[in-house]
Amino acid sequence: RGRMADLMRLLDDAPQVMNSKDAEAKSAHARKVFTALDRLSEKQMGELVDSIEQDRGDILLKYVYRGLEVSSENNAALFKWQAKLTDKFGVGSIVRVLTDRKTV
Amino acid sequence: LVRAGVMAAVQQLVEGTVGVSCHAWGPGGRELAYAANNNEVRIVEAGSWKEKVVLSEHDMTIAAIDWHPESNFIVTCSHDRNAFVWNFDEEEKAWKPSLVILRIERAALCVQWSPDGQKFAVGSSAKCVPVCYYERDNNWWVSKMIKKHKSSVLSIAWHPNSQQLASGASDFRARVFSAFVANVDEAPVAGDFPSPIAFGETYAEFASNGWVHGVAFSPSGSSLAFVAHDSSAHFVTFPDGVEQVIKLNFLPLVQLVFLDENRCVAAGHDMNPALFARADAAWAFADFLDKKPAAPAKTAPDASSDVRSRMAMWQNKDRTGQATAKAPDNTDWLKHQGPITCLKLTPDRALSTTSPDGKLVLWRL
Repeated sequence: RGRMADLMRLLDDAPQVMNSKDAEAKSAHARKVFTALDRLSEKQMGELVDSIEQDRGDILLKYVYRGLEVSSENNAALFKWQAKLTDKFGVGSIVRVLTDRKTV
Repeated sequence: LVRAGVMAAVQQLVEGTVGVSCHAWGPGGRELAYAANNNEVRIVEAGSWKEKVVLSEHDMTIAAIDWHPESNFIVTCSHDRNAFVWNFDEEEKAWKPSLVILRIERAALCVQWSPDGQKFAVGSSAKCVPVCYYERDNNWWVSKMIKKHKSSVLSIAWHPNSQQLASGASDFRARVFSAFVANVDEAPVAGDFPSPIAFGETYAEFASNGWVHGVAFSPSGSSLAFVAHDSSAHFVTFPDGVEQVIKLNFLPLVQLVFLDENRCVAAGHDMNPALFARADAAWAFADFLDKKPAAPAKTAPDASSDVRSRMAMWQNKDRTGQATAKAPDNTDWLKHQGPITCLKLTPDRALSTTSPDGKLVLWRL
């Protein structure tokens, strides 16, 4: 429970990081998000995606895509996140990952 | 809102390899003018779709056409930075072109007659909107520039009072301007805004996270809607100026029209017109107009396929990490097989859409 709340808090803090041009701050925040994502089980993944609303879902998807840019062992989990998020929020969410000029 | 049967009639105007760039209906819906991704305007008879005449004056691709229902004037604009106003000479039974020097250094992208037919506005890649009117003394059309934009103007829409103009641009903004022209308009009016302002000044500006592809006013002018490339639809109600943003879960929309004060249809890259409806002051996506035909009933699986289905499950888990393989979305059943780039209301209140797939589809709700 606490782990899901941690992730939610990180997502809420994300817009501030997205607005800045500090690449270091963005990388640092992204690392925190990935750590929080790792701590969640698949069942918690499902619960979180069910409870999350549009804006946070868009931000989370942006982090998922950022994570997938680098090849790593965590990518299998990130693909699952991507699948669950796009099942709920659709292709439009992916379009916003591509078009939003403020990046994570 | 959407009755069980949305009737759709499909007509292949040109081959899919050529495509239709834009279209406009003549008075009474008896004729249709369209451009097949080139510099010619083709006018066909509605229903039989037989070609009546081809108008060739432009040098480059025609970007947009508008045909005024009362004046019967056609205006076309093109990538060649010009516009032509065509009027039908009854004696010679022929369309006569008048060149309009827009004074833009880049392509023209969209054009629309004002509701009173006295002016037309052109959105251009030169970051400006020439508003053109007829100067009787010199017997020609002159243009007056609305600047203010920081990038290409992708769409424009007139307010019913013919004095206010909305524009959508690739600088991520939708704006409402004054297009009051002293020689043409009688008294300045401000619609739902407190007081009228000078030509080219901004009444309101709205931001989005994507290029604003389409703008439209509701029939009374008290609502403004625009669609942007970040898959969002924005609805603004005047006079409060309250903006509602709807983040969509499908591909971006590029064109939209209001059916009435509480219903709006938009279309774009999903190749399917989307209906939006307002209930209790809140807009929401209601439904797509094109529906997948019901699939034939599947036969019950027999026992021997149980082993096969279990094997398939493990194979899927191995390959994609999910127990079931999701079939990729098949779009073959859609009436349009290309993005809808032009959406218009027909004179008898149906909707018409054209696309680079060369088809014209008429939708009746």
